[in-house]
Amino acid sequence: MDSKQIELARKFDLTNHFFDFVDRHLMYPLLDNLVTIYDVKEVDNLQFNVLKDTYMTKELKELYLSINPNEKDLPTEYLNRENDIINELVPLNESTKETLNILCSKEIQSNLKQNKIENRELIKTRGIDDDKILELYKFGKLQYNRGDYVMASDLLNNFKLLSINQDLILKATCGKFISDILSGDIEEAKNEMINLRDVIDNRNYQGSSIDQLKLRNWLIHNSLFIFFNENDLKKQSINGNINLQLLNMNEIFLSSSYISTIEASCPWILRYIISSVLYTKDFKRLKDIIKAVEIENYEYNDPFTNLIQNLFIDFKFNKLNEILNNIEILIEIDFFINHLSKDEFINNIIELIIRSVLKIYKKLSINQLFKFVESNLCDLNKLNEIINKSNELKINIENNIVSLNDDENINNPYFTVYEKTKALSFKSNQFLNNASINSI
Amino acid sequence: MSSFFHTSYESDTSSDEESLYYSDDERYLKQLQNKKSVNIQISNDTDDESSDEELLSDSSDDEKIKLKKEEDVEEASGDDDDDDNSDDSDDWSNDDDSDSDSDDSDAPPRGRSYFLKKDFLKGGNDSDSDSGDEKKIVKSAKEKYLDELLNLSNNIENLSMVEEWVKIGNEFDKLFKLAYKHNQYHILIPRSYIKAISILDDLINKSKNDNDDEDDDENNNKKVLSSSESKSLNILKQKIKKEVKTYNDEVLTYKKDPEAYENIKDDSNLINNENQDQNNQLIVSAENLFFIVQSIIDSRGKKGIDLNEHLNTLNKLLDLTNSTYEKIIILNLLISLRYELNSKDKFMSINEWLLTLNDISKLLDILDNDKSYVITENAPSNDNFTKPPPANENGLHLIGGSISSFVERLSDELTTHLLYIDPNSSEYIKTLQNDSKLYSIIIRCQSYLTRIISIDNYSKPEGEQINRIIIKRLENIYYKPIKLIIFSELNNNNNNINNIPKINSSEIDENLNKLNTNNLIDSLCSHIYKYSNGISSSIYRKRAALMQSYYYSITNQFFKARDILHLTHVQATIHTSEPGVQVLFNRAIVQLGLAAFRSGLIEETQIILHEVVTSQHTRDLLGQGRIYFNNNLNNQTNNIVNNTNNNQFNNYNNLNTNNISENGKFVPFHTHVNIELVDIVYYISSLLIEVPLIALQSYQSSTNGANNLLNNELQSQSQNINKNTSRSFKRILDYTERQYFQGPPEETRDYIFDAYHKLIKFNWFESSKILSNLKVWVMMPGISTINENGENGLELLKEMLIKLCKFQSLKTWAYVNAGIIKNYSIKKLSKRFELNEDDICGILGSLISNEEIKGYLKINDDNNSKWIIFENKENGINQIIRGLTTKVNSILERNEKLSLGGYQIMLKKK
Repeated sequence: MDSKQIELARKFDLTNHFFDFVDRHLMYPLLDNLVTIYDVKEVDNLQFNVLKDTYMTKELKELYLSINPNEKDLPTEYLNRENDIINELVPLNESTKETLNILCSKEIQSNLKQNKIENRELIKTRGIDDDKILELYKFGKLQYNRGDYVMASDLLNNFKLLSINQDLILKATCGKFISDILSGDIEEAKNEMINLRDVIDNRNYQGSSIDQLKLRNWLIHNSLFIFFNENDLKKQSINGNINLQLLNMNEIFLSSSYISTIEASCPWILRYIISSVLYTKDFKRLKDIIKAVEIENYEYNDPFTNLIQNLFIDFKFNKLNEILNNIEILIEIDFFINHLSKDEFINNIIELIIRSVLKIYKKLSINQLFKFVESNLCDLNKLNEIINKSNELKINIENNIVSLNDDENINNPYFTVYEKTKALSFKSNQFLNNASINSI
Repeated sequence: MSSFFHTSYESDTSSDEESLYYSDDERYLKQLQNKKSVNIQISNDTDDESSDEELLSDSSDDEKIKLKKEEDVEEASGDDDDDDNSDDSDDWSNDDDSDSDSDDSDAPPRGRSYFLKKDFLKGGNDSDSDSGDEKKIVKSAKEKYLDELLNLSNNIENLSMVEEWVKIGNEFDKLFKLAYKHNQYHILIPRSYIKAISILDDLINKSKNDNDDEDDDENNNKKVLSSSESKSLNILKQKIKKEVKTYNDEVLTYKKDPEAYENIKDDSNLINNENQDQNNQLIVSAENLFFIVQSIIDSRGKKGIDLNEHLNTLNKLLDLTNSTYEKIIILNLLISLRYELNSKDKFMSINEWLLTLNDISKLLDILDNDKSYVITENAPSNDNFTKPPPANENGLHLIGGSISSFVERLSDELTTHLLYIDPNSSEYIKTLQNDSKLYSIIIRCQSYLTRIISIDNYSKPEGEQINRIIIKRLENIYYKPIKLIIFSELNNNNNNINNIPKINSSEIDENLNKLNTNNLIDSLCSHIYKYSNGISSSIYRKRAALMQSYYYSITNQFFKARDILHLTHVQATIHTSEPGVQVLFNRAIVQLGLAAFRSGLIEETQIILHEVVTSQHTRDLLGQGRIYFNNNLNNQTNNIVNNTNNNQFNNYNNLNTNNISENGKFVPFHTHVNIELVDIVYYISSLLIEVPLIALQSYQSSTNGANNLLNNELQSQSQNINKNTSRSFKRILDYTERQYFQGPPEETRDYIFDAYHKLIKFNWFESSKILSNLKVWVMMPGISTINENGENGLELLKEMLIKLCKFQSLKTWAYVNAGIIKNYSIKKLSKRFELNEDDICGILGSLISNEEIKGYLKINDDNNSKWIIFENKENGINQIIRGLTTKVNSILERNEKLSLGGYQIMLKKK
């Protein structure tokens, strides 16, 4: 990338917005992604700062050494911490091991029931009281902190099943959600997300509305890791299926409570909604997006919102080329969007542009059309390919005129009158019958 | 109490000899007084009422004396229970006589008025005197009152001998009610009342003892109380117990020596006190400082006291003393007295105001110099105020008082003053100049409070003081442009204040200044959002939010201002707020509308301003009504803002008597929003929105887009009639169009319709010229500020208007000509409307996309020129057929309903 592009990429980089909403452990991969536009050292520094307060000593050491090549080991405060961790870890490990063993024993497993209270009674007879259960939570937190996400997820899950402290359960669910994302267990994370949504979107949400807002913000940001999960997206694009996950995301994020949260506190999420809608060709949701973009225009814009703004609000098509170029940069650098299949995504964008342009210009030769979309992303061949592929567009081979493939009859006055009146006679007969039956 | 006076009084308990002796003595006094009028004056100085009376009665003095002589004969026959000493035949005997006649209504002998008053009283009794004078009635009422009390207490005394509890109870109830009216007559608790309760107290104690005895001795032969008697006894016991407790000292003195106590006249109490004051004032010195201060405190709230005198004394004392504590005490008192002095006037005179301001700043000086003394609202009460309160654990001496209240009051007084004077006079400007002094006091006070109140206590009642003062500070600056805010911030010479948000320097860069003021307002408001949680917190929060929004509006930060209103949800609860807050809300809304207009958001402008402008009482909604404006307007039916109306108008009638600045129901002139401006802005935005729509409806009504628009409008109309924002504009438009003769524009509103006629002919140039040359733009807030590109507000505004006119006239052109013209070159359009081709393509594109016009854009291959191609307009027969089909369909629908619901529809129709 040349310097101009890097500058642009930095301008539209959203990583700093994520700091407020995403856990340190998740920031790590986000920061990793920044090496393309920032100096490696700078990124390392940031990562070190992010991880400074966690227990991931191994990674810390690596980072520290790469920042300070002359040093041999971490400063003492971090080394001491390692000891602290072990001091903390060992007793907890001992006591929870016992608890887990009891829980795993055949006798308990066979007697477990759906009812949480009964289960609690059952294990109480085995010496597992509330303190022991709380230890599970503590240990889970510790394991998470030192980067053992699988273990943390497991511990927190056990805690969730046994505890009755609703606050801690919510925290544990959040913790497990993140652990599952980090350990790559996406299916499990999806389940947890559903659980979390049950709590957050509950009509009778217990806490204050500000807490609810915060939680929702948190969920919006963290769930992007699931919706834009690389493996899932790849799998589906290979199979040629529409991505259900992203469709699901469109539905959630454009529901009234989420879109208003996004408008109020994190308008940058619009980028992901727009890309998801365009990627999945979920064009019926465009209307909502246009509205949101129009509202938020004054405080947030990026190439994606500019695209929407120019296509559907201002109808200014002359800037599309520039926007397309910018979008390309974003697709490259954005942590989430670059998981999408680039070709498909771009094809969709260009098709949308062509359709919008043709709505206003009706008939354009392929050369004229090409002027609107000419950019790094699109050359003439690609344009042809897209037009040929699309069901909605048609091209007259003789003179290379492209037009929308819509029904001619819609604007035909004879047809409309026919449409409106064809049911009249049938309906009238029906009434007559009804009336005669009633009168008898 | 001076012994001089009460020896000369008499009471019914004194023996005849005594009364003889006293009366002689008194007579002697009288003579003395009569001869030496100077003396009279001196003794009268103590009581304004009586001296007034004397002046009034002086002229008729001699006549009355003559009259008196004649009456005396009848009198003797009327009242002969104690006329032992009415044997003297000279004038003085008459007086003497009358005095002893009404011996129990003991009035002190004071000057010549003394006997005239007796005269009247007696005349009233004998019902053949008609020298009625209002002044005298007051006197006699007091005496009657004392008489009555005495009667009642005598009754009680008599009844107590026989222990008839029911009757005693009744009598005591009467006495009780009566006795507590003593304040009306400006005397202390009447002695006869004390006497009665002491007697009863004794009696009850005795009967209690008796009962105890009875318990010991089972064979009691005492009379058994009936149930009603014992009931009233019990009630009485409770009451007496309470009363004795309240007047413990008095009762004790009475019990010590009942006779002597009774001999003291009730009136004498007050007179003595005042005499003391008089004496003390003669020797103002540091030694008896607390004595004087105490006497002044005691005399507060009483009638007939010369407050100015007190103020002078206190000022002298202030010069004399050096002790911090004493100074604080004196200033505290002095400031409250200053406010009290003017409590009856409509507003404080500016001199008084300045004096008060000086005193407050002196007080703050003292407190800043000696930080061991702290004035706070929640100081523990100090029983002995002659000594400074002991230092608390932090080494601070806490003194009760409230600087924030002083400053609040100071600010209110200035506002009230401004409301009452003519805004066009130089006096107004002079008064307004004091605003900066007030502001610096507010800042000092805020700094002081921030110093004395720890951050942990911000959200406790103690911290409420800070909130109050912050509100005042906001009130002082929120309506000012940035430059003025910075001036007022810099104007106060306390640069050493750094514990509160403040602007200390003016930047050359306007943007930096804006940033600074933004920060200032934000930090002040966020303090209130964060820490205000008392009873009145909702008012403070609302006020802060509204002022913040107002500030952002006038500084052209529309979105911020709008978001504040959105996020705080003020509009949801504004109905229930007090009128002052509602006025502020309306003001903030109007400014928001103006800000939207300046940003070129005409649709928002129209919606925001609609309710205020179309109301009949815009002026009052904005708190800009005239003070003496009396009205009997009917309540009207609208929503949001009109609640304000009702509240306000109901209160209007009381306004003249009440404190009008209260609650900010009215705002002083310099904070007014120009109503003509608001009006014009609303109508211009309506004009710009409506003109294309009118064209659309009349020329393109058959297109889908037009139908959609129409349907939307109908829908919103059926949902809420008030949402139809353009109606009022259309109504006025109709009205002007119906005029046979339309002269050249005179009013500003006429210019709008002038512009309308130009705009409807696509003449954007003329119409924008008319609009941008309106004189009223000078009144637009922020019009003179210069932005980063060196353009001033007026230029920007004109630019915006021209641009909007171009856009809207292009739209109108398209609506009118679509289907008539076949094709048109974009280039030509661009020339005609002086817009670049992209803008034109954008606008036409949006029309095509919304299906408001039928047509498309075309690019010519040869020279790349663009054209707009309009499709043929529907021909007449098509239109008719379309209309017919919709009608047939509606008939079908009706039939459907009819067949399902029987004859209901028919009945409804009828």
